[in-house]
Amino acid sequence: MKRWTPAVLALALARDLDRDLDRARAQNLDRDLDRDLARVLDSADALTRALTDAQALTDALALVNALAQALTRARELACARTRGRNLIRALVRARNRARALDRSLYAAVWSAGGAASIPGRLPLGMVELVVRMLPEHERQRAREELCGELVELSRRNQLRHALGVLAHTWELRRALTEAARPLDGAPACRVKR
Amino acid sequence: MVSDSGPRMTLPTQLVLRAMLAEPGQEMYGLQIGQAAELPSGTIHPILARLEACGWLESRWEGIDPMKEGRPRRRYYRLSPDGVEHARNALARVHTPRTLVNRLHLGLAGEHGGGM
Repeated sequence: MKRWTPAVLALALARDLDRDLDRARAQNLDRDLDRDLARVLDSADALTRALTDAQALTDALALVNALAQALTRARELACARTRGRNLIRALVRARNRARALDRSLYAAVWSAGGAASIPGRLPLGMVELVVRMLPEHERQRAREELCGELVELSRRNQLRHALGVLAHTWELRRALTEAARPLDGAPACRVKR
Repeated sequence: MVSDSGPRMTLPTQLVLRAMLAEPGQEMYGLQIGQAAELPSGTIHPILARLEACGWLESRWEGIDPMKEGRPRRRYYRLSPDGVEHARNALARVHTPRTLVNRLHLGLAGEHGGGM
């Protein structure tokens, strides 16, 4: 049996130790690498989340801008609608004043004939209603003619006359509307039997 | 239904034409025509409008000063020369029993209590 010298034994032990140290070092390095890799992955996740949040924030900012513009536009439309309504009210007031002035003028012109010749407000109003149903180009003539007839009647007959005219409003409108159409050839009568 | 070629010869239209043919050259205004035809107020104007559109009637405004006269000016109507002939021909062709005309007048008089 060979006797190992202390030097050989030491060398064998050193080799073993070296091997063990290498093994241990490798394991630690793997652990360190794993740990570092985990840290890097965590950082990547955090960055991804941050990017996602940033994108959402950008989108939200864009939405907020769009909403602000829409609100501004809505405010402008509301102001325009208010102005439009005020304008309509002013036009209605002006129209009512014009009608009152029109009636006053009628009364002033015809008052020379005596109090009984001034048409009453109700018959005048009914005639005005009829006139408004007629074609626009016929209104002035119709107004003057119909109101003139009222003046020549007594107050009691004025209302009856106005009612009669009102009852035939559509017939008069139809007749005047058809009168505006061009006729073909000489007029001929259709005889109703 | 009124066609584009002329007025329909309704009874009120016939009465108006008869009233105006009584004196063809004479001008009458709306109320006068209504009284002469013995028709109630309001019936006249559609008829006058249709007859004027056909050219059977002519109309004009009275040439007065309303302030001086104390009343508004009137719209006068009269039969046109062609209108006289057309009206006579139309009335001649229409067969309207006298009883029906009388009944119309009686009915209208009953509804409206007499003239204006």
